[in-house]
Amino acid sequence: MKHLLALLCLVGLVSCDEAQDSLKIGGKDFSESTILSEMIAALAEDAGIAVTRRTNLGDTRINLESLRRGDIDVYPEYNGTGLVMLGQPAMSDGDAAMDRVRSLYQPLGLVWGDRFGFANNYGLAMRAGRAEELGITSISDLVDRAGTLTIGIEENFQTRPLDGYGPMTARYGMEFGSVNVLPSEERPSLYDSLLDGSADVIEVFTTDGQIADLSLILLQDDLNFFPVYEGAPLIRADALVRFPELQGALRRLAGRLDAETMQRLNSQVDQDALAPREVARAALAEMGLIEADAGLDVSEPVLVAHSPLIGADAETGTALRAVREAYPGRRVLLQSEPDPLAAVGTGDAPLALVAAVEFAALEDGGELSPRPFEAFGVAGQAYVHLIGRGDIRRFADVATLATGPEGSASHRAAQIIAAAVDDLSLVSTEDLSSADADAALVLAPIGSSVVQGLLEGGRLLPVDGWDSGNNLVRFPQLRQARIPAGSYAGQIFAVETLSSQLVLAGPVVVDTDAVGPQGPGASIPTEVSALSDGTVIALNNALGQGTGLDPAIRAAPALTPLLPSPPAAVNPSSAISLMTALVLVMFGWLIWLYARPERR
Amino acid sequence: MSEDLESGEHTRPSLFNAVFIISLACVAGIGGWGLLDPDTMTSTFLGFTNYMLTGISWYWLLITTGFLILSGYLAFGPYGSVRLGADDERPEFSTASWIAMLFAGGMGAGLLFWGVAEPIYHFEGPPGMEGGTPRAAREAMVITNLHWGLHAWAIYGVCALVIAYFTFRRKQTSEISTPIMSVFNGPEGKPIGTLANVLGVLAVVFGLAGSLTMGTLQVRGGLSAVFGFDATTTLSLIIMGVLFVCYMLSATTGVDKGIKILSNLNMIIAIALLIVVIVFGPSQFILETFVNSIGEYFSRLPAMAFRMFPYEDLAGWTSGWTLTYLIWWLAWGPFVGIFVARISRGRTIREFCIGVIFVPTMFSILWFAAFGGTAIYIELFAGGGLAELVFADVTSALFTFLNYFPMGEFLGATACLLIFIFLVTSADSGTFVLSMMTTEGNLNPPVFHKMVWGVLIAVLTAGTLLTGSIPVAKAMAITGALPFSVILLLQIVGFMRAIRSERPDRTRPREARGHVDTAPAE
Repeated sequence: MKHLLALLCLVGLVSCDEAQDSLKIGGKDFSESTILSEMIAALAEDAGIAVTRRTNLGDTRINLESLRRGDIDVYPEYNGTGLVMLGQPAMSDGDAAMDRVRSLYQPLGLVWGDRFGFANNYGLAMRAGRAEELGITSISDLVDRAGTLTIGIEENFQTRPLDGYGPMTARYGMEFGSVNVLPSEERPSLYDSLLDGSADVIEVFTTDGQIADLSLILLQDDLNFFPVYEGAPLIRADALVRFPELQGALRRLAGRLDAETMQRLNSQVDQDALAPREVARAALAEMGLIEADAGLDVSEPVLVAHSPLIGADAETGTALRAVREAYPGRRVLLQSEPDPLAAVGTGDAPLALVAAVEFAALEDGGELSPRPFEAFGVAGQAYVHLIGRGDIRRFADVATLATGPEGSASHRAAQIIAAAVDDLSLVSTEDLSSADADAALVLAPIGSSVVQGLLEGGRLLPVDGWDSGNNLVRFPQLRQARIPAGSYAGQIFAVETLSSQLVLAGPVVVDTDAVGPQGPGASIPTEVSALSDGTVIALNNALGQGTGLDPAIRAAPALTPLLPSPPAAVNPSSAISLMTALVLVMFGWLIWLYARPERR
Repeated sequence: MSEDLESGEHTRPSLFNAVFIISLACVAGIGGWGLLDPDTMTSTFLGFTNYMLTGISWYWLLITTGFLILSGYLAFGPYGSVRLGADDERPEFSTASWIAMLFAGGMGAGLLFWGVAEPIYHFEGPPGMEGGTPRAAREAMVITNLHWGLHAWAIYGVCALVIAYFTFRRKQTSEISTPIMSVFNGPEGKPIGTLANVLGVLAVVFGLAGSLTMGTLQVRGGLSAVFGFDATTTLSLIIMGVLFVCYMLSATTGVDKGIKILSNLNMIIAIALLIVVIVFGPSQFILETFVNSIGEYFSRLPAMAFRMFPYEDLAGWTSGWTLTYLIWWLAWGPFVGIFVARISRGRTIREFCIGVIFVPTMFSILWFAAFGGTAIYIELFAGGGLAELVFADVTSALFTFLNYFPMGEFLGATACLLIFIFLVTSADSGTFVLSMMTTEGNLNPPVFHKMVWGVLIAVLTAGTLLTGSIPVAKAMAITGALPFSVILLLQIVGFMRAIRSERPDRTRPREARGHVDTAPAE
């Protein structure tokens, strides 16, 4: 009986082990692949299959090798890549390519599922203006100019043996003047390099959302060098046996994703910084393949407080991407606050995207007093946009100035300016529209949507004469800057104004207590807690801005350089020496007490 | 009262009124100060503690390691076979109940609360090396075991042994002052003894109230993590109210009923939780971690037990972690010591040391291998993400962790219950000990005293909860450790002098030959 019981237990345990078998889903390290992996995961879960996500596993080579070794069971692949990985010539006919990869991969025990319905080819893209200026429409047009141009590519493209950078330049017979290579996971910033002019041409995926968003020119591949890359799941044959429901689940996605859909989804991840899992689930729910939000992970999101008044769309995206990178696996959400730092101070949000002016409060005496917050990294630069209404043409003519609500960046900047200038009264409003104000002040990055809206009924005024008096010293958070000509529609001249750094910030937690907050009976307060140094450094790296933090604002301790300490005195503290002496005397006394003769 | 227990050698003062009344007055004074002006009180007490902790950091590590060495000597040296009681006496409680009560009184909720969080903290930021690596994982387990292992239990062991020896072997009163009075057996003994007793009472009262405040917040954190309640002061006060009723019921029924039953229940639930984590977690990894931790902890103990960072500028780390833990254990020393002494009647010193120091240490190594080990496993091999959640909210670390397991909600609720019962057992043994301390060491103190102290602790805890300040609770909980360390050293001197008489082969102190000393128990 006992033996039987033991045997039953053992069988139970073993079957337990089997029940825990899950479908391991890989994926490459860029947004589109992650979205597709998440879609596969969602459909598999919907079909009752347990899923282990190993998305963002690495490049094609790592995924394919993991798949062959059985470390993963399925990942989204492209048929063109499938051919190239086996050293086959590229094909431009999708159906033929599909038949070819199916027959090639079958002996390896790998099965190609039905195509998702879109092709994501490699391509080269340029800014419309630049391409026009150089007269380039196809890759062949680049050949003569390549020596003077910079191309931006990512590592994966650089290393691809048959359809990568090397083979492409060999096929077209060109040599670029310089090549910027980014790590694969920083793929979205290729577009940044195109926009800021550090690259003239970049390598893109034709389903990248940015191509449409930024109106880029996709260069024509006139030699048909880039093969067709149609997305399809690549599955281990034994996974189809282990999970009989898998084939049906994957088939539901067949042909459902066209290139436009994919561009939109990619854009949601790359531009709007939404989490791939949420994007994938929302898209599936929209197509009616799964129920909306069923089984969505309800982990506590990381909140980033920001002010919608500044309309800093690109900077917010940069900041969100950085936060997402620093908090892997967590949902990151924006929270609108007129005074984002106040939300951080009460512990409502761990992070805030704020301008440097928000780090100080203007006292009644006209002095700035620092608020207890510290910055983790630079997300951009916010400019004072002074927008005159009606026929107001000079700053000196402005008597009443509309600002955002009290505590907002706009209001704080206006307060500082009002403190430096005579006869300026402020009207704080919810949305910067006040009928009786002569002008409105927005502290926002150049190109802010809020400013664009306000400019329809007004014009940008220069904030001049700031360097007279001691303003530069008194208010170091505002620095002189210029909004370049042509930044806004109808802006012919550069506008002299002030600017302030836009940074990610959090609370300063002053803890001078030598006794740690931990301990066997201790309970740590959770209201406001400091970010760990590791997270701060991860955030700063993820923001990836070359600019350092404005010294006028307080930087997180992890970012401040360690100061060389001055030579210490040989006896740093006589009080401690005295205490030490007392302890030693006490030890002596204890020894005497122990050893002294017994009293009669 | 128990005046008849007094040896006739010197007249002991009647401590009942003195200790009870002086203690009450001091508690009222300090408590009132804390409630009226919590900021000043906190900064005064914490400032004092900080100064002592950083200024003479070496002292704390040295004495606690000294306690460990001393208990090793007592267990395996010439006095190992001395019985805490008459030579033919047998243990009052079964070994299982004894160990269950040790845990319930001595560590309790901390094990649950920090089981996941602490290894993760060290894994992510070990002193002097890069975090998040396999090497950091090794270091994390060793550091955690250093904080929760032999040192902690050696402090308790020594605190308890000095009391238990005089109580059960010498048939003297079970008080803080008893070992000290054997050193100062002249007229100076009376005030010194009273002072020691009052300090002991104060350390226990405030230590307990501070710890209960923290514990209530832990339960509250658990309830809001598992059931989604709003973490409000009202909820804290409700928890405190239920806690009060439970511990008063338990304490008034005495050690052999309420306290024993609850402790056993607690141990069973804790072991069940441990088994769930081992079976449904990475079993192989946990057991490998356990075996590896044993080897690594014991082999690195000699160096770690003396490890300070004078060259690396890591003094902040040492005081924030290792010394903070030692101070906490010391702060709980007077109360756990008397309680452990109370339940250890009839055991030999060797048995006592192994039971109080070695067995619990092995259990906590297993505990941390299971909880901390699984957490590190999640970070290293299972996708990670736990560490960020732990850093974001330590209070819910355990509950977040349990959500990785099947029926996580149920496990979370069980953990909540367990933390709560641990609080009850800590509070009831604390109330019991306070009543003993203020009734000249009466082993079964009257209900009146239990009521007085039970209510007083509840009032102090509720007051601290109303201030809503964790630093206040912390200051109350640990400040008593500093003066108590001196008292403990004096107790040890008294004990070591007295125990010499257990060895007939050893020369007695000079001038003592022929002197009729308090004889070893017949």
